[in-house]
Amino acid sequence: MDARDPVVDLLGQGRWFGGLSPALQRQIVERSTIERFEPGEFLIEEGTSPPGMYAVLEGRVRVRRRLPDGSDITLHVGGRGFWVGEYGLVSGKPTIGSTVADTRVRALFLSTTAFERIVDDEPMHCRAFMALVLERYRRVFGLVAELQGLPSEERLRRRLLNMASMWRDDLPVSEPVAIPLSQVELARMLGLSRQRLSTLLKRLQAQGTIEVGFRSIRVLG
Amino acid sequence: MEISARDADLLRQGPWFGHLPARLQDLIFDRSVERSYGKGEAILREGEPGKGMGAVLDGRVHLLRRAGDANEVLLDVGDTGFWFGHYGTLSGGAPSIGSIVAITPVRTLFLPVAAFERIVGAEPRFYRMFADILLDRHAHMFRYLAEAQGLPPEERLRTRLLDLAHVRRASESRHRSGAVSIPVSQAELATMVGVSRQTLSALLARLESRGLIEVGFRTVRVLA
Repeated sequence: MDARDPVVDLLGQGRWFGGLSPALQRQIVERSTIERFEPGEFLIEEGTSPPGMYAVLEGRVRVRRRLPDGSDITLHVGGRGFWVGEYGLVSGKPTIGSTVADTRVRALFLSTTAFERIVDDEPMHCRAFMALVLERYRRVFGLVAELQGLPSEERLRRRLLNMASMWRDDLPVSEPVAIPLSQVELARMLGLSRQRLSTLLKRLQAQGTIEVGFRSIRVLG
Repeated sequence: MEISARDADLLRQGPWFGHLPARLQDLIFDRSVERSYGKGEAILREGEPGKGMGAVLDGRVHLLRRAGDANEVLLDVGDTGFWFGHYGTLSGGAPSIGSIVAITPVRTLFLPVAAFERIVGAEPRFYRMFADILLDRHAHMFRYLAEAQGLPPEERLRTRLLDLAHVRRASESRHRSGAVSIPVSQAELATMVGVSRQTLSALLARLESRGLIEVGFRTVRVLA
């Protein structure tokens, strides 16, 4: 191969994909397709049979979960290099959340069928995909513990640091990570009132941990 | 290890273990060791390299996780048929993300990481079967993460009880449908949901009056 594949170049900077063997990286990209979405379109719909896994190449997506009262809660916002759909891909079970295009999105799509062909040819590769599930499990497990054990300011600080570290895993950047979340979303994510959240954000800003922007929060720490 | 017919039956009743091919079940029995722990002893310690995975044969354990610098949070209670240690094992020995502590004398079946690696090294297809147990827990944790913040405390408690019932149904297939008794004290439940004892007691009374649970002595029966 002479010219490097730009998709491999971009995704190879991410922690999970970058850690795979070059042969598996190539297989994934070769067996995938490029899909495009308009704002508001679903990449993955909660509760449906899993289509496959996506990596965001351009644009931004929101990961949401439907609550029993019918409302939705945002759990994460992902940008370039963000992989999503790994749970359904490996388990084959109905998806546990929705992924919605937030902007126009261009994404690499590895279908469930293509994945099954990869692990059928080489069952060891399943372990490489599970590494991504394990990473997400570790994060969710930690966040669940922090829900119960921490005062709200610390909980907010850690949630923002956690999201910023996920962004850096997707695509390493030297500058602070700007997380595109509104205060309404963030308040709901943490079970806080708008007023309380705004007070806590001011405190974190005064400590130099974050900078609050318009519909985004820059995490400096 | 030489496993008794009673212990083998008990583990085969769980849907995860029960659905494994007989050859893999036998390999797990064969390559596991029996380990006993005194009350208060740590079976797995958060932050230490994963040593392996196991199942409680007798006794009760707590799953704990440090949040912040000081306090440990109770995330789960497990008794006979409860599997633990799958994160550190499936990752091939990554640091444990929680601690498992015996709160009574505990007897376990324990599959060390090296034995696990030998099993999946010889038959890579078995790896995915081991992964199923973690995928199931992941789905529940993910849901709880969403619901814990978005729902009022009464619904949050209900979600937590349904999860506990799910894990118990998973370990006792004869109870897969219908009511499940969860041997959990109100003090334990209060810390698991993050409310005071007084609030918990009021929330339980409300769920009971809705016909969803029955509160007994150190147990909660989940009806629906």
